[in-house]
Amino acid sequence: MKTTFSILIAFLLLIPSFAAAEESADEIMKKAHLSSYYSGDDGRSNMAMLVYAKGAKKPLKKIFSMLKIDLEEGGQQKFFIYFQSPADIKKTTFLVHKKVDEDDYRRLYLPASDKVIPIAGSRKQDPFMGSDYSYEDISGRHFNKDHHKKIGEEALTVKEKNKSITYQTFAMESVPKIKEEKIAKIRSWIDKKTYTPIRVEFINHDGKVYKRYQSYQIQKIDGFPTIMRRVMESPLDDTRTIILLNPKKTGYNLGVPEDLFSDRSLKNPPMKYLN
Amino acid sequence: MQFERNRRIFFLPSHILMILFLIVFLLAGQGQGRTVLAASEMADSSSPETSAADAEENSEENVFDDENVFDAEDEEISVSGNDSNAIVFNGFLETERGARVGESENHKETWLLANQRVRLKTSGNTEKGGFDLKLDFVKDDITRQMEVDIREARLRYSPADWMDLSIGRQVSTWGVGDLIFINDLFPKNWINLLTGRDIESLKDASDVLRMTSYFGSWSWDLVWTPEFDPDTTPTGCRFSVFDPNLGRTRSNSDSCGKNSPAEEQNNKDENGEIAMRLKTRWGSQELAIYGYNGFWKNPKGLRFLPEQGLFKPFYPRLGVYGFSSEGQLGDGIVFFETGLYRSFEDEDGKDPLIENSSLRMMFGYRYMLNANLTLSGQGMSEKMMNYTNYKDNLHPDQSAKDEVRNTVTLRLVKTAQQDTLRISFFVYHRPQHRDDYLRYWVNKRLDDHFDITAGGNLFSGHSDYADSEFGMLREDDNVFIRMKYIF
Repeated sequence: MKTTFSILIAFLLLIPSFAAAEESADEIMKKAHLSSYYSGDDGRSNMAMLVYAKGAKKPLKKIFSMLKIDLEEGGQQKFFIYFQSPADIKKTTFLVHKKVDEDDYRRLYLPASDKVIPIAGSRKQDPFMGSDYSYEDISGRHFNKDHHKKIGEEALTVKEKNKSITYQTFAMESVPKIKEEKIAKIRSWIDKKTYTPIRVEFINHDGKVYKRYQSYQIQKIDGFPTIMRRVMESPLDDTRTIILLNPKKTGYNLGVPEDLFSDRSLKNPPMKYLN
Repeated sequence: MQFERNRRIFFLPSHILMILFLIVFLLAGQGQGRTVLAASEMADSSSPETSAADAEENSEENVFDDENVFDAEDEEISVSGNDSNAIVFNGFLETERGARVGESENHKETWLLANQRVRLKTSGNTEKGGFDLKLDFVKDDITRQMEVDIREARLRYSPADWMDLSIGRQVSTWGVGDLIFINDLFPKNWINLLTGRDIESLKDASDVLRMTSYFGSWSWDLVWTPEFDPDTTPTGCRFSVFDPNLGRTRSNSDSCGKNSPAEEQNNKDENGEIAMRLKTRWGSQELAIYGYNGFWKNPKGLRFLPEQGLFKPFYPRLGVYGFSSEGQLGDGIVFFETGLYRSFEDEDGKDPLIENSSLRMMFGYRYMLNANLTLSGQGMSEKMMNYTNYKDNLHPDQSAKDEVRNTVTLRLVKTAQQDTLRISFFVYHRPQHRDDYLRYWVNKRLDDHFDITAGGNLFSGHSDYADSEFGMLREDDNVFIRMKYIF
């Protein structure tokens, strides 16, 4: 009886650790991917992208609004980007149909000369608008592209404006299934509570961290944890890009119709949803 | 003597103002830099670890103080912003200078381009439409004119779910070529291209009614230009142009400020243009068919005026029917376009003074060698129809054009420093006639407001050859510099 009881106790004690162990590395990364890129069915974020050149104290600033719609959770998505600033690129629009196993469909519209330019959708690692972020960093690197491994659990302290926040994270390591030109390995620290990536390091084939990402000021918008400030640094080039979200113009589940993510909107941006 | 004259032009009052303006803004920019530095130095002394972050934040705050964009952290999130209906003016101040390189028999002046420009633009939106306004106030020191160039003044309106209307002055573009236009017969300003002005100025605005209808994956555009708008082609004001009456190139200061020596079309019964495009998607390719009814955009006809004993250029009637495709192939973009040019006033090709009908075809591929280097090439072939009729009726003094004209182009674009530095080379080469055009420029975006571009245009070819497009400009090689303050 006593033995049975102690076995039962031992078993009960084991349950939580079993439950935790049940969550595989792939599942963690899937959840992280969904929490970063698939919040809500659609959404809008108004962003300021501050690109710091090497040694620069003052950034080049681009302000744009991005609409997105999820066609399938963790799968196809459509994006529409409308540039507000600087004034010379105001009204420039960019349409992306993100596909998982195929090349993206990308169209850029330059209003000054009324020209729609097709952009090859295969180059997902190229910089997005001259920043330290790649196209893939903006629209999400699919979790299926890498082999994931959990290497531990770490408490990660992030220095915010007036305070420090400590996140309990899963420390993950991902290696591309198919060899890639730039990425040899990705290390990421995923918040256990919200599955938001707190820090990500991109490691090149020389074993050096060539890009380092950090999330700041995570707050809930429409119930979804949203990263209000994100920094991507390229230590080898000594450049960095900060993306700030405008909370007033960021939201989810706005009911954006799918047919707005079409070539028509390039010339006639859906201002109703962008403002 | 030459030096003194140039110096006088350079120190025009407007330039002094522009230079002062640049100095003030550069100083202002530095001042801001210093405050950030001071803040980070202070932080350095207390806690070295946070200095970088503090500097970041300080500069961010500076940035957003101007814009008032993301200041409120905990305010309620609203779907529609309050400022959506606010009218904001943007634009730029620009000064540009272009100088002839080398000797020219026809032109003794050094400057080809000397503009000061202020652009103001604004727009507004309503639920179903809006308006756009873009005005350029230009002081041109070559034509000695001040003018207001209305680049855009249009109303947008969507009367139905499937239709967009745009009425008024605007720029229209279609077709797939890179500086090769087959089905795009909207007005172009070639002077702007050849003097190195900003590429957006290649397209002239015109007063049109544009209707776009959408049916599933199909779209149909109709652009009606009630009054014919020709291209702006090189005149003797800045360039050496071929004069059919003299049989050689010459300059002509009388043409300054005028678009073209060609006869106006206003005496025609109907002088409008209609252009149409039907477009759809097929896999990764975008397909379109086109139709155009109007006039040759260059004065491709000569009319003999017996009372003056002179040839006068004019714009003969033209119809164009074409097709294009464009889309991803491999890691690049492949594009193809063809068009049949029907010269209504010389259908059988027997009139040697009016351009014959022709068939034009082009093919191109654009490929990114890496994230910072793009290479693109195009090949174009143009075949004159009814060539025997043309040859048989040619005046003995006229030199014959070739039946087939081939062109290849190559473009190389290099970007660096996070896309703030761009370098572009574009070569336009006609192997048959060694008729070449090289256009190159370097552009640097200094900060959120300042932009500087320098480059050159080089021409070569035979000046007396009927087929030569750039040959007559071979003494007009030029270099240019442009500064912009964007606000």
